[in-house]
Amino acid sequence: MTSTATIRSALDDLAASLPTRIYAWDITQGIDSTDDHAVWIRAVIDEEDFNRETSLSITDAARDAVRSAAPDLWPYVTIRGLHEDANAP
Amino acid sequence: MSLHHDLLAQAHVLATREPRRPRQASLRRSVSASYYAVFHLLTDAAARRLVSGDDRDPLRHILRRAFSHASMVETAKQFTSGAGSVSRPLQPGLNNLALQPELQRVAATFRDLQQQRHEADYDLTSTFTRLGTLELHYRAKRAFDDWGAVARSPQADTFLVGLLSVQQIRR
Repeated sequence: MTSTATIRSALDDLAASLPTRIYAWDITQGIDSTDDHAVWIRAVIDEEDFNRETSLSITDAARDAVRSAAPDLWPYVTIRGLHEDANAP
Repeated sequence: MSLHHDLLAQAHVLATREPRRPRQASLRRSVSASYYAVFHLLTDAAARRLVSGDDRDPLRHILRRAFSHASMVETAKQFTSGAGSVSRPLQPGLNNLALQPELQRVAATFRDLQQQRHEADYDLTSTFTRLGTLELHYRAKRAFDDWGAVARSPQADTFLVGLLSVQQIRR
C-alpha cells in the first residue's frame, strides 16, 4: 500500500501550480463503502480564496496527482476552510 | 423543472442555509442532495434512451426503479480509468472508441458523491464543512454539464447500459 508520506510528497509538489495557497493537506487512509482501499484528502484553504473555479481546480489536480502516485488507492478529495471547525458536532 | 435539477438547486440552498454556523444536518442533507441529483440525472437519461415515446412515462418510472446503487458505482469505477478498464461484456458498445474526459469525470464524480453520501447518511464520526459541501455541489453541477456534452454518444449509452446491468451481464 502506498504510504501517506508518498501521497503527501505528491501533493506538496503541486503547490506551485495551484491557484491558491494550501495551508495543509489532511490525509487519512482507510477502506471505503465499496471495500476498496482509499485515501481521504482535505485541502485546507483560506475562506477568502474559495470559489467554484478555485476549489474544482484544487481537487482535480490533487485527485490526478494521487491517482498517479498511488494507483492502489482511490482518492476522495475535498476542501476545508482554514477557520472551519473540522470537528464540529 | 425535473427532479434532478431541483435536487441540485436544493443542495446549494442547504449548504448555505445557516449564514454563520452551518448545522451538520443541513450540510449532510446537502451532500445527499448532490448525490441524488447526479443519480437521478443518469437514471432519467437511461430511461429516456431505453424507452422512447411521449406516452411511456409509466414504463420509464418502472425502469428507473431497477437501478441499484451498487451496480451503478461498479460501472462508475470501470469508466473512471479509460476504455481498457470497461468490462468485457460492455466493450462492444464502445465501438473501439476512447472514453471522453467528460464521461470519465461524470463517472468519477458519481463514485465520489456516493461515498460522501454514504458518510453523510451513516457515519456520525465524520464532519462536513460548508466549503467541502459546496465543492461537492459544484462537482455535481459540473457533472450535469459534462453529461450534456457526451450524452447520446456510443460511450455514454454503454455507460448507461452498464449502470443498469453490469452485475447481471457478468454472470
